[in-house]
Order: sequence, then C-alpha cells, then structure tokens
Amino acid sequence: MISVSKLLCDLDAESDGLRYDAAAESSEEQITEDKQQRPVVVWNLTKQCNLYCSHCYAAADTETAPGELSTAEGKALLDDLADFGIPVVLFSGGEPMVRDDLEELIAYADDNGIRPVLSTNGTLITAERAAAMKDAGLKYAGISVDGLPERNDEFRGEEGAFDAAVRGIENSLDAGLKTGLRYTITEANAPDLPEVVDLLHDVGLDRFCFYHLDYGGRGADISNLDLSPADTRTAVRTVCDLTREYHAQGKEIETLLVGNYADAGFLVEYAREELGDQQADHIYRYLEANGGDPTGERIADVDYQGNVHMTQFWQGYSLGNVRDRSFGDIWSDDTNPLLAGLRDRDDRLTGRCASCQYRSICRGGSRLRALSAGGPFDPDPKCYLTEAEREPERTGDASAD
Amino acid sequence: MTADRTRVTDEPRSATGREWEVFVRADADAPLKHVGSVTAGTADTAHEHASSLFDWVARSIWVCPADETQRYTTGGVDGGRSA
Repeated sequence: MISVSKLLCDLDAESDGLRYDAAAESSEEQITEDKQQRPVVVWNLTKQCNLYCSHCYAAADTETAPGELSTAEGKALLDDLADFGIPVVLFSGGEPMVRDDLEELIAYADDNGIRPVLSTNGTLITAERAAAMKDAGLKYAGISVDGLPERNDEFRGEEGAFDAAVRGIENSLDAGLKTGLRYTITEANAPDLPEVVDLLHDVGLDRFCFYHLDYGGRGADISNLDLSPADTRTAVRTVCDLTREYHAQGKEIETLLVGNYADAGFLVEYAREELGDQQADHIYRYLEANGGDPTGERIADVDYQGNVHMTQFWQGYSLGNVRDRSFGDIWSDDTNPLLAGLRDRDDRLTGRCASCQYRSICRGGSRLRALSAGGPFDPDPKCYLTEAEREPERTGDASAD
Repeated sequence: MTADRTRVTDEPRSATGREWEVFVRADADAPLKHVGSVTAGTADTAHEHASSLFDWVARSIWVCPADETQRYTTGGVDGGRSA
C-alpha cells in the first residue's frame, strides 16, 4: 500500500509510522510508533456475500459455505494474533456484515489491543449497525465502489448497489467512523475514476484506495479486463495528478495505491519529472523504508476456514490452518522454503527484475501474478515500467551505440 | 503424550475444490517436509500447482488429500471440538 498523498503532497496520516517508519515526523496520532514487525492480518470471516462481484478475490457466494470459524474459534484466533503482536486485523469476506457476531469480534479485537478495521461492500451499513460497530471499537471502514452507478452495479451483479453503498458511506460517516473508498481499477471502470472521487468527496469521503486487479478467485477469470501497461500508467498518473490538484485547492484527500509495486518506481519517476530530483530522492527513501511488495511479510490472510495465506488474494495455497497450529507458529516457520524464499527474494528475482534499478522498493511486484506467468520469482507480468525507467544506464549505453 | 493432543475437527478446508497437503524432499537424503496445502480438483492438478511453487527447491513432491489426513494437535483454535 503506497500513500500517494503522503509522498507527493506530504499529507501526514496515522499510518506513517507503521508504513514508513516516520512516526516522529508525522503530525497525526499514530497506529504504532514503530515500523511494523508483524503483518496486518486480513480475516475473511465468511464466504457468504449479498452481492456477486465479478472481480471477487475470495470467490464469495450468496450462500454460506461450511467450515466457518465459530465465534469461539474466532476469539481464540484473536487471542493468538494479539499474543503474536499483530497490529491490525481487517475483517473481510465475503461480506463480513452478514455475520451477526461481527460487532462482538470487533470489540474482542479492540479489547485485546488489535486495531479492528473493516472491508465491506457497504450495502448493509444501516445507521444502527454503523453506530454499533463504532461503539464496538471499529476504527475504519473501507467501502467498495467500482465505478459510476451503472458500471458499478453491473460489476457487482445488482441494480441499486451503488446507491446502497453511498447510503452505507453516509451512515458510516454519520456514526463518526473513519471511512474510505476501495476501488479496483479495470479497463471497464478506469475512465470513471475522477468522477467517482468527485462524487464521493461531495458525500464526505476523504480517503481513496485504488487497487490494481490481482488474479485471485474470480479476479483470475477477468484478467482479460486488466489494464494494459499503457492504460495502467494513465490510471496511476490520473491518481497522482488528481491528488495534487485536490491538495492545491486545499482539499486534503488521502490517496493510496495497492497491489502493484511498479507504482513505487513510477512515483519516483513522476516526482523527478514534476517535482524535481530532491523530492524524488526523498520519496525513494520513504519507499525503501516501506519495503516493496508485502507478500509473506507485512500482509497475511486467514480465510473463513482458518487457512493461512501469504496475501488475501493468494488463497489457492495455504501455509497451514489455525485449527491445528497457532497463527504465530505458522507465520514464523521459516523452514517453509517458499515463505523463507519470498522473504529473502531480492537475489532470487529473475528476468527484468534482476537488473531493475527499482528492485529494492518494488521487490518484484505481485507474486501471485508472477506465478500466473511462471514461478514465484518471475517478474510480475503487470509491471508497466519502461526499459529506460528500469535500466537507464543500459538503455543510455544502447542509445549511445 | 497422546493424552495432551486433540483431534482437529473434520471441517472442510476449501469450498472451491479438494485440499491437498503438500510435502517436498529437497535432496535424495533430505527428510520429507510438510510445506502447506493447495486447492485442486485432482492429484495431478495438485501436483502441477505444487510444482509451480516448489520446483525450484524440490526433488520430490507428495500430495495427500487433506480430508483423508487426520490431524492431532496440542495447539490450534478449535479446542478439539470433534475429538
């Protein structure tokens, strides 16, 4: 997760310490003072969802699936996560709000010192449930909207889903919950992006997270809708320009990019072009502290059946199951060669990554997409940096020849 | 020591296919090592999936149906509900 507003506009956020080891420089109250040592854990509470979105990484369904962790098991998991020092648990799904013990689990996490946050389609956030979640200790609700009304509803498989999500956003904001947008960019909805930001900023949102499509669950079925490298550059540039335009107008929106660490290299290039070498070097240092693609390190996933995954998108492979081994023991098991290899991947990366000048701030990008192209250390097929950006000396030499 | 272990509940481990426990051996004289599980419809597909993850380190790969593998543990979150 890369904060565009932090890097390009110096907007402080509560995650500066967690993400960039920059708590001391931030004016905002921090989630943690220190750079994170343990992963943020996404917990897919259920596979059930009231919508059927075409890009769902969890391949959620309208029916409940067997094997969900019970409330008691969930609390035992939260105890385990607290003991291991997990800073944040992201309740996700499916649609987590279909579980009637959600507020109980939020409160339990909060009581145990884990910051509870929520990922939801927003359509079930009534005023009552928003207030109940706030009372339980919820710190943030990320609500998914993927385009203007018609496009969003088509994506989400239900007419009226956009309006219902906006009502959810309003209810969440009215309850005093910090609330943000989650937007997965595809070929279909990329043109809608600025208008959706305008529209939802008018509703009251000031935090916008833009996700690149990853190839997990039904996301793999629509990889043909993923943006081309050229269109990805355009979309990311739009996010950068839009962030700066809002800030120039005194509107302090927080914008983030998720799911393709080629963004790190692009942001440095963008800053060098638009803001100068000094700011570009400053941004590079922040991104170096951030650490590049987080697979197997700064993000973890526990699915509704207790399987532990290296990211929420990569659910076809499991490191272990919390029903028979603690999360901490599974996550700390460096005898797993894939887990250990990905944590020490810099010299294992192959192809164009091996000689890329941005390798240390990108670390190869999505390892799940890399797998779809070959193996766990292959380049992310959705890297959109040009050869001149990746290897300026080599291309400089070539042009000299 | 068996008195301290409980049998892990037989809850399903996947809703999108069968779950397969994966074991790899790095060298001829290395021990067989459990390295997690993959979701796949058949043993051959599970082997193919596991190969994409572990070919770089594995000389041999075993895949075993998770639903045929009984787990007995001293840890875990289910408290041995089905024991």
